[in-house]
Amino acid sequence: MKPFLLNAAFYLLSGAVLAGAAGTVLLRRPLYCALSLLFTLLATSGLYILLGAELAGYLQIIVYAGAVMALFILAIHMTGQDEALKVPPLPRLLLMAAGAGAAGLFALLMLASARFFIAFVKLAPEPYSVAEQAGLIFGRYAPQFELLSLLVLAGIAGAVLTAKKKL
Amino acid sequence: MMNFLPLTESVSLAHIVGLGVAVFAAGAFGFLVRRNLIVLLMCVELMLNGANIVLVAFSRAPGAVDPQVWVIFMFAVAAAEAGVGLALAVLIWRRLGTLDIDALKELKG
Amino acid sequence: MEGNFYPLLKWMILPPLAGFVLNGLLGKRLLSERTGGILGSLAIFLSFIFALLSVSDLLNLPAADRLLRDTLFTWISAGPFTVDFALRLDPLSAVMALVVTGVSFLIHVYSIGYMHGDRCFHKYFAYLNFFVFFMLLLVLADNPVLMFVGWEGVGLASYLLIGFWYEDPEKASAGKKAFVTNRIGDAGFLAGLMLLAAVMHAGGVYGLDFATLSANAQLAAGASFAGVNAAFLIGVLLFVGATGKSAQFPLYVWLPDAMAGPTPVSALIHAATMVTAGVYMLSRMFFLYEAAPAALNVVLITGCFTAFLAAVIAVAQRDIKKVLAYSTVSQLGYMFMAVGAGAWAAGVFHLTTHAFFKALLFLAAGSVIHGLGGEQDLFKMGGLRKHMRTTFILTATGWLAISGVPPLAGFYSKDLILEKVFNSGAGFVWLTGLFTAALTAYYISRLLILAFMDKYRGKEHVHGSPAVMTAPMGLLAVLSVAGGMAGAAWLLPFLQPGAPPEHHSALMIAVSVSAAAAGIIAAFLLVGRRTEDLAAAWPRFHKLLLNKFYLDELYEALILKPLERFAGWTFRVPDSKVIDGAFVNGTAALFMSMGRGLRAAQTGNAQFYAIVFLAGLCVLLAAVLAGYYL
Repeated sequence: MKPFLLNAAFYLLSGAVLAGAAGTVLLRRPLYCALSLLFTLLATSGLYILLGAELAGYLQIIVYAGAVMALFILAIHMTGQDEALKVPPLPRLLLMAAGAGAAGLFALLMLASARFFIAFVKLAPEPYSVAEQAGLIFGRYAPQFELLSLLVLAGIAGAVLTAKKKL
Repeated sequence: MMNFLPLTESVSLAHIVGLGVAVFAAGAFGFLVRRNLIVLLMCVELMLNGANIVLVAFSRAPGAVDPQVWVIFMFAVAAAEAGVGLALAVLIWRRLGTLDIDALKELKG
Repeated sequence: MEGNFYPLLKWMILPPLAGFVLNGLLGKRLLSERTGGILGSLAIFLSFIFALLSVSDLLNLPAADRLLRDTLFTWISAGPFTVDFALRLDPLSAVMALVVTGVSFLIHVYSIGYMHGDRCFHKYFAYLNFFVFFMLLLVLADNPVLMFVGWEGVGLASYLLIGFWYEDPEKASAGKKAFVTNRIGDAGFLAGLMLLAAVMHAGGVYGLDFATLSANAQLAAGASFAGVNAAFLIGVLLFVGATGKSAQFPLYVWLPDAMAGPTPVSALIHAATMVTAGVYMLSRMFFLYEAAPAALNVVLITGCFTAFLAAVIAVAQRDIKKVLAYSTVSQLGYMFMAVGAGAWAAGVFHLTTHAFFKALLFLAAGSVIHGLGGEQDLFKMGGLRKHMRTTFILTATGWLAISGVPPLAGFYSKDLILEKVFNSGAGFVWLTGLFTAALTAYYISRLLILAFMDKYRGKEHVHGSPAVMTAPMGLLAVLSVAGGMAGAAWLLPFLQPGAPPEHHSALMIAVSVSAAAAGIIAAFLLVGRRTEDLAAAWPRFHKLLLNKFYLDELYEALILKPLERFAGWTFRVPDSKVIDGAFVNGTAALFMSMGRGLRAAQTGNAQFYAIVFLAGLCVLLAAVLAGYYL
């Protein structure tokens, strides 16, 4: 594929991600925020695939955009948040402080990773081999993987027990 | 140090990392200003997503492919955390009738 | 180390300690009155036997070599400086030990009768044994530090026994006065001791036992402290300690008040033994005074003045025990006069005879008080010659002895002191001593007349004393009669072997006997109607005498009241305001306010916490990056 198209695709997807993020943060109705987040996640997934991380990309759609967002939307409906709420305006000081904090964080993190920026990224390269990644998961990071399964189990148990109406 | 190339040249690591960090900062900003508990949790997901983007970027940089594996772990963690968080939100809704975070101030003092 | 090892010495001090423990712990619960009293007396009797055995062994040694020692354990060990718990028996401590154990035993037996029926009978005997233990430790100690332990111990025993009937606040206060006044003297003693140790250490001598000290006495004479000769300073400081313990001016004020204790206690502690500790200490440390004759002058003058002052006060007292108390202060003054004139052996001789006749007089007074159901005012007595015959005869013996009538004991010792003082060249001191002897004869005759002569002026039913009380008095009477002759012949050569034999001037003897006679005659002429006329003629002077020259009141105003005010001030300002207010309460208030301030951070708002978190994170990141890039 021509490099120009790939670059354009990159910038398009990045724009989508940023727009979606802005939407999540700024929209009024929680349902709209959820939908915006869904949009962000899908765009991110596309970005991963563009960068050759296909496993991450497809898993993002299945797990994140699929399961997690479904859970969010379900929760929004369960708690009656699907309508607009009367929200009083936030104090200016809080907004400015939060904005400054976020901007500062952005700057600092960029600075922190600055020394790696001489590298160039090849778009749409050979996707990573799943076998290699599986080898890492079950090889080098096997203990972490097992702990992860424990974490998920704990999450399930916690969520079910917490939200049940009658134990 | 930083390499900002025109649109027609290749994308550098800086762009992707910048994107990831921007998403993270947006999530942080949102976490600090929104009042609805569920939207708060969504902002947390945004932050995690931003971190994921940075990880994928670095896995693309010359070096090992390990960060991408960590991304997969992050998916599981984020899912578990979202599940428990939303369960708690539902519980709070049942108890207090509201999801305004300012209503949760029993730790005050 | 000179001196022969003699393990029997510690057995002298152990029985009284055992008696104290047994009577103290078990007494009231397990032992009957009779058993407790016998236990206490037996303990002292054992000590006396051991003392006799030790002294007889001492006598077997050649005269120049009479020293027995026993080291029980090392008490203090700090580098080269060591102090051992060591006992020594030489002629001086032998005499003291025999007097202490002997007179003590007689008084224990007397107490069985006197304290009969008292609620705290066993505690009394426990305290008495406690006292004898420490007194023996004092006289048998081989170094001044151990002696000070005994010194303090007898001070404590004195406090406990004076305030024995502590429910009466006046009696308790008398005990406190004795202890505090003693303590002032002890401060001087300690200062002297520390200076002595410092001087010795500066000269490289680290052992503090008496043998070493006496061999190195010239070190003190050579050194000087703050411009004053060290030996003189040490001598004076140690004498300050003796002033407190032996009731000399200006620290004598506790002794008359100490009469609040039971009469046997007054007899034992405040006549025969504890108050003589000062004289013993000076004799023990005489090698130091030889190196600083100026200090001896201080001792001489103080002793002389005290003897005279106390005798003058005694002339007008109404309480029978107070007369004897001031008499004791006066006679102690005589002993210090002897030491001050350089004749410490004469002082110890007078100490011995005084122990006999003063204990006798006190016990007789106790008998009188006991027989009258507690009356102590001389003006309410009288005519007891008929009602208490035995006590009268015994008191008369003591009267003759203390007046210095030959051939009883007091004559020998008092006359010797006056001679020594005269021979040392202090003419004015001798004259004062002579006049005081006349006063002594006067006031003791006055006591005899008022208590025993004429008719009974009181209203109580008079009864005599049991044998358990009169028998010890009888023994003391015998000693008062015979002790002088025996002492003059045997005691002085024993204490100072190798000294030239005494040469007594007949003129001196005649002079002192006439002084005694003058006093007695004056008493028989004046006491009664005539003294009342005299008192009416000079009312202010009489009042002055009766109120002890208002010295107690003077001390109260000059020293005690300012101290009380100062103590009150230190309570109000430094204690309450600074320590309590600023440090204690202030610290608490500081932490409270810090807590209140920090509480503001706990808003309960999750997003607030998140902002703080974010800020902290930014700071950390900035710090790390600064470290990396700069």
